[in-house]
Amino acid sequence: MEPNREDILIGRVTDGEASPTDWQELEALAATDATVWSRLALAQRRHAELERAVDDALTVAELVDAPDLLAESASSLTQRWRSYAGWAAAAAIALAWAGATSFNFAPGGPATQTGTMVPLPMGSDELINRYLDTGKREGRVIAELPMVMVETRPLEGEKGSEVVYLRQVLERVRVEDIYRLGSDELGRPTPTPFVPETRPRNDNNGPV
Amino acid sequence: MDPFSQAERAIDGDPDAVRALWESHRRWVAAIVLAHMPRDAELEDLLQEVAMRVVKQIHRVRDPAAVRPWLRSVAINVARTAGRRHMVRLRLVRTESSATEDAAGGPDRPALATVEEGRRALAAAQRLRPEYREPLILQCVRGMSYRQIAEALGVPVTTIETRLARARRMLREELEREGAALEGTGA
Repeated sequence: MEPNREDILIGRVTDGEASPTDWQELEALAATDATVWSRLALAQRRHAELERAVDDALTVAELVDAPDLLAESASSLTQRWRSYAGWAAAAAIALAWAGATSFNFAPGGPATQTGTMVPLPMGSDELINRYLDTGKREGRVIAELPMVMVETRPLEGEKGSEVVYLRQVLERVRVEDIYRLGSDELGRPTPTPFVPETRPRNDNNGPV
Repeated sequence: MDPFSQAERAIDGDPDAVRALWESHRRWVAAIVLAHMPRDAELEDLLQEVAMRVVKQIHRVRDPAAVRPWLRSVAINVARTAGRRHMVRLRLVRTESSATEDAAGGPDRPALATVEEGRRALAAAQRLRPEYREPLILQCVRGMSYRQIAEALGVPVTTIETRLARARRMLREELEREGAALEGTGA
């Protein structure tokens, strides 16, 4: 049931795809067989009926909007941030408490506790080393990156220099979703879901 | 914004671009669902599901130029899933009431005489094989050219033309048979 040339030409005319050449060809066919015009008229009528029915059926499409998952995601991100911030604050307090109590214990055990929190003589080097060691054990800290020199100046009246530098720690955490921060039409920050590609780690910049 | 940039931004997760992309394509996507869904399904419900999948999964599209074929595949998947659910329901209904329906000559004999011409034509179009009904229904979406239909279906324009011509001939013959049958029953 291969369509003939007349079927193709009538189709093009009916669908508004006919070129001037197609019209000429159809007129040439009709010159030898005038019933071509009635077949064209019938095809156009049938097409108009079908088009109307399809058009009616598709009216509902205008009622279906894209669901606002993005806004939902943004709101859930805000909640996650809030809970994370809460967790972070709690963790900081817990760490302070753990640090305080562990250093407050005398070798004799709890019986020697005074029951009060006393500021402890824990140096920043000790604290950060403790964080790095614990973080590595827990799998959070991957490595400490090379320090970046920011500023140096000689000490006045003393031997030596003062060095300002940047310390960077490479960490790893597991998260459910990743968001990229963009902005909406009003310029407000808007997080949007982001699926990252798997990137191998560059181990050339290893720890110090 | 041109369609390519719109698709590119939508894939990158720009919510406005996703919305705009959906609005510019939803009508012909609905036509795809209409061409593949079971006849008693609700187009609006299925289209809601398509919209949901589009928003959730558009980031998976690798090539912005392939958005049309991807939208079509999402629409067909949703319609086919609805079709499978429909077949299960139909089997259950038939199991429960087969005796009475057999006596009455079938579960849902359409009252064709009361249906307007266009709806009759649409119902007949929906009975055509998928490769014919899909371009035929898409062609009825205002503003869709042969080229755009070919792009959505992933076939050459000449194939679309041939399928449309065959589909129309089959539809004409089907409607003539129906008309003859109606005259025969005096409806």
